Amino acid sequence: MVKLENVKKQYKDFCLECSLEIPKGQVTGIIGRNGAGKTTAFKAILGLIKTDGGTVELFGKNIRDLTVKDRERIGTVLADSGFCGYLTIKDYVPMLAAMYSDFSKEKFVSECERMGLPIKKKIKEFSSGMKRKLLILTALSHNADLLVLDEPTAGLDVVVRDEILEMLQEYMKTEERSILISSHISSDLEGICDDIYMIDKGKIVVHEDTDVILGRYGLIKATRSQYERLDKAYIIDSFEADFGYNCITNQKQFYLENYPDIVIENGSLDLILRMFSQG
Amino acid sequence: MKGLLIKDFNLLKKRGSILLVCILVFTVYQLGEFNSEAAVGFATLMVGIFSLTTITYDEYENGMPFLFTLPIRKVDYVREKYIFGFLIATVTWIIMEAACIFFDALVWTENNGNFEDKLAFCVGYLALVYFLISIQIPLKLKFAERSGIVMMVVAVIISIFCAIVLIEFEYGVSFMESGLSWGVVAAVAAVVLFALMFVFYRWSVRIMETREL
Repeated sequence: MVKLENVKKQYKDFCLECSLEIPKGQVTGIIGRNGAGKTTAFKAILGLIKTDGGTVELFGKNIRDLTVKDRERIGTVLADSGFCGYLTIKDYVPMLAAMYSDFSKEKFVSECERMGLPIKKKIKEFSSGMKRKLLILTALSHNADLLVLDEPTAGLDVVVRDEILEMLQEYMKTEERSILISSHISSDLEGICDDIYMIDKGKIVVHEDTDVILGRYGLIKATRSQYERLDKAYIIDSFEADFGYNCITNQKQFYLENYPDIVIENGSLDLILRMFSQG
Repeated sequence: MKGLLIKDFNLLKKRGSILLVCILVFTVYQLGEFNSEAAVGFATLMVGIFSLTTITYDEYENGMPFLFTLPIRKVDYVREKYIFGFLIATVTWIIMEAACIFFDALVWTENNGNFEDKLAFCVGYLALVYFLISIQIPLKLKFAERSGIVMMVVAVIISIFCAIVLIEFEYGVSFMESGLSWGVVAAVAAVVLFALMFVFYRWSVRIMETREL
């Protein structure tokens, strides 16, 4: 569905160099710290920036060859960009109807009302959560084959976030659809993504199935005496803490079986992010 | 492109009320002064300038990147801006021209001057508004909020050019009277105008094609 091959984008003090692939029927997550290159990667996928090298393919076509019809197959939420605030949802409905052949006015309006979005209020008067909800509903409104969602749940409360994630899971019930999603809320990604890319300083540093990350990685919380007798063969990194040491392992099962008295927390995306970001 | 036109007409509807009041006040004042052609010119100019502000609204709160994730091409965006600008300027011109002709014919019957002169003035004004829209679109796309300053520089250059032309015109009256008819002059001016408009359009497309969002 999406393929980035050796894509390079050079800025003054930052360089994105990455390859990634999003197969059909899969939800792929991107994690990384602020400024790691997530949004630049999204913009490269959407053709909003010119790359300095490599190729970006969507639906088997080079991004430069995408037609307007192809673009109808993409639904997008961008982290820092949205609808003009001087118009209302009511104003935008005919625009979207004219742009997307598979857009249902009635369904879109009823979904907006269901999500508590006022139809006749200027969008600039919306809260940031409401603006985000509107973008997500727009992305889902026209039966797109690919959703590109940069921080779609930012600014939303936990109830709405769950509702949005349910909507995304519902969306994925139709075959041959894909989602590329980034979020600072790692639990959102853990619940929905099939695989995860981690990006750091413009480079992909991890690509793993979510199940592998959650199943194999773990955080060992050892006292000083426990730490001294610990087999450190599978310890990736350790950090000193008040009680002793926090140790990251990629062989959680080994320590669970051999050190039953030590507290071992399950792996999480936050753990991976922390581990790789600290080098 | 249809979707973009709908968006811009909605913006005109939402944001155009102040513009409408300005035009009405100026029109009433100018009609009182027997200057119906000034009312036509002012209204056309104001509406033409308003069409350019839709670019500012598109840029509002970094809206451009999202706009270009919708199924539109950059060239369509530029075309839409030109079409929208010319369309609303022309429609305003026609409405105002019709209203003023009607007013001159029925109300100020004794002071309405030469109809052909007034019409020529209004046509010239419409051409000027077309020119201003054409040149302002690339400047807006290229310089965004700094486009006003750039336009002032351009206006000074054009004014100097016009002053030179006018001075030359004084010297060239005999030349005009001797050979060329006004029809030929108008045709040449129209060709030059269309050529310039095309150049500005191509420049706008180039700006958008190379612009990163």
